[in-house]
Amino acid sequence: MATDGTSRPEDAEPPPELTGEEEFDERSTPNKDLASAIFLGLLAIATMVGSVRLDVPGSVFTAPGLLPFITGLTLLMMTAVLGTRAIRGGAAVGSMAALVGEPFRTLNAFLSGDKNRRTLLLMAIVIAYVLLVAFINFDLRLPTPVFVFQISSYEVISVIMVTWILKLFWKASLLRCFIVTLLTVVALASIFRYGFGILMPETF
Amino acid sequence: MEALLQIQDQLVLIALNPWLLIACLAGVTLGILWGAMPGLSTTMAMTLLIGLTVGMSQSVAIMFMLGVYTGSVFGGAISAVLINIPGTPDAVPTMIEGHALARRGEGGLALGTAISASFIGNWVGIILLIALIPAVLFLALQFRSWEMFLLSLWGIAICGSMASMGDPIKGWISGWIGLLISFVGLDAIHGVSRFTFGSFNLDDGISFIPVLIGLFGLAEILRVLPQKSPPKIPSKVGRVLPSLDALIQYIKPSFRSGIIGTVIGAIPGAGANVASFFAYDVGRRRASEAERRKWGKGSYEAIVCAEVANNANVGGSLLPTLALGIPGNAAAAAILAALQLKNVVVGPLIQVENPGLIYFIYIGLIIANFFMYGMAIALIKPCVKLFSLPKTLLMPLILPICILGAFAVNLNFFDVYVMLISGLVGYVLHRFGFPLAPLVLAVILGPLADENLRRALLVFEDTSILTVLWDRKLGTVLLLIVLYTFYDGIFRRGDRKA
Repeated sequence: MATDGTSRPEDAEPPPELTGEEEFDERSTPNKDLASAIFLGLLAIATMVGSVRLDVPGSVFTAPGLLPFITGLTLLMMTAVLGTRAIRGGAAVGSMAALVGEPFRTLNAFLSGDKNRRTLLLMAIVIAYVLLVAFINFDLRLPTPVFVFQISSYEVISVIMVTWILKLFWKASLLRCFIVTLLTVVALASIFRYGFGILMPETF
Repeated sequence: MEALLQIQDQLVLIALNPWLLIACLAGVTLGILWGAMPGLSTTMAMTLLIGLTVGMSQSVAIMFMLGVYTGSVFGGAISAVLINIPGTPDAVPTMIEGHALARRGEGGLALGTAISASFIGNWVGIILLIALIPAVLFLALQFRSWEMFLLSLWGIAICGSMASMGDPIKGWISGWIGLLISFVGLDAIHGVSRFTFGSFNLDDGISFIPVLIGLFGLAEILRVLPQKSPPKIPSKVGRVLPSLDALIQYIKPSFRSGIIGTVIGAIPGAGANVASFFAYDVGRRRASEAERRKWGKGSYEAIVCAEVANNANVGGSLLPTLALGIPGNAAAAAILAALQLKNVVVGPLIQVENPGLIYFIYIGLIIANFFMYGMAIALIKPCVKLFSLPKTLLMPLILPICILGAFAVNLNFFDVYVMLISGLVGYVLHRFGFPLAPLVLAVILGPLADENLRRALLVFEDTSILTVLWDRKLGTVLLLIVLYTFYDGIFRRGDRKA
């Protein structure tokens, strides 16, 4: 609080506190915890079943599924604790209808947020980017008097996709986004290819 | 004496090879610039640059990565002081104090104090690393399969606790997911295919480097890019270097914070973030009444405590990484990855299998520290210009590095898919409140735990539990530590939370 009785913005903010080595933007909710517990509980059960079905060539003490089974079992116990705590914390389990409808309500709430919609769009572009690099393969060689300049599908796809992402999030003009991306991708690919002799993803 | 001669030999070796010095300088410069950018963490820098080390020789790669580590840990302080945004999470205490000073026109001096404190912190970390590593290696050589299994288990458990202090169970669940990932592939004892679903790519297991790039590179981009953040205007820098007299009065808090930083760094999962907050808190309690009143409003002593601790953490985190093969934090896991790419097997036998390597790393850290001091001063003004670049411009440009980095490790596109899936899973886990460092640590330690548990059980097949507990006293002590870690997480932290 300032001496004149008005509060300054920097005074109003409480100093951040340590919550662990990693920081989180938002707190988890009981509903999220319950969803995690159910999903991970199923994963733990699947692991235990998969472990039991593995071959046991020697003694049971050296069975390949021994530690996976123990890990699955202990993970199941942990998810049980997480789920119980989430229910005690007020997770929506009042009726079966409420429980079944919860994932849809959560998804609805997630999609109604602007930030979440932007994240989903970004995820879709990133997935498309990786798949395009995987499935489109070409390698152009442009001989110059000094050396052979190579352009591969990785560079071309990277320029297109990153320009798109920049246009969406940076919101500068298309030309500016393109030039920044082109310079960065060419510099990066040149460092890897010419500087360190590392092949580009699509050159096989 | 022998150690001194070895250090001298390595020093000559490095001095005769200018590429090593250039690699270190480049690493430090990249690290400072990266760390200074808000939202780009030390771990992200380390993981994305692993791919670049594929084309380097072993010694050049090590010098480069040590430079990046040293530089990026300090870099976070620059944006913390000048624009009130910590470049890395461990720079939060520096931000609280430093920006308050910057608003009073003392930003340059606050930064200068942070640079000097970082330099001192690195020295404390390096000296303690050199002093403690022989003892830890001696102890590690006594470990058999049972002890190695317990040590791996403890590493994952304590990492889970430290990464998510308010909710250790989520940290442990994250670690357990990592263990499940590590079991995929051919089992090391019988060669039985586990959880591969008929895929030949999965027979070799899931490499932890693309997982690391996905979790700390791609997931971070997905998290940070959609956030709207207005550009910040940097404070004026002014005079930078503090006087020697001003620094001398902080010797005691420096020494104390250096020890705190190194010890915390040596605990798996606890990194620079825990170290700087803890040293900051201890420093406030131990400060004089007059100094304590300045705490939170712009205290130079507070900056010293936080910066010494988070930089001493570098040396501390390398202690378990080199001596036991258990990374002290996610950034040290990236160092481990770079070493593994160069066929360096870290752990108790490091001195036998890679003679001279530890001394080379000591010298590398010392050189990186000197470069950090010089480059930090030189780079303050360029960094101020960089702050005008928004995250929405920087983050998309990192995406091609994620793909290249993941691919370069084994020249196999399957690793890029692993990176993509890890990034998406990492983002979801983060949104649901699960920390990511225990997952990475478990992917690294899983094979070690699996193989050693089964070997130990085979050895103990006809022995009673009591005999095992009595005969293997070191193992019994470790077992008690593991049980205490779980007890502490379940009961004591639960009480504190309530």
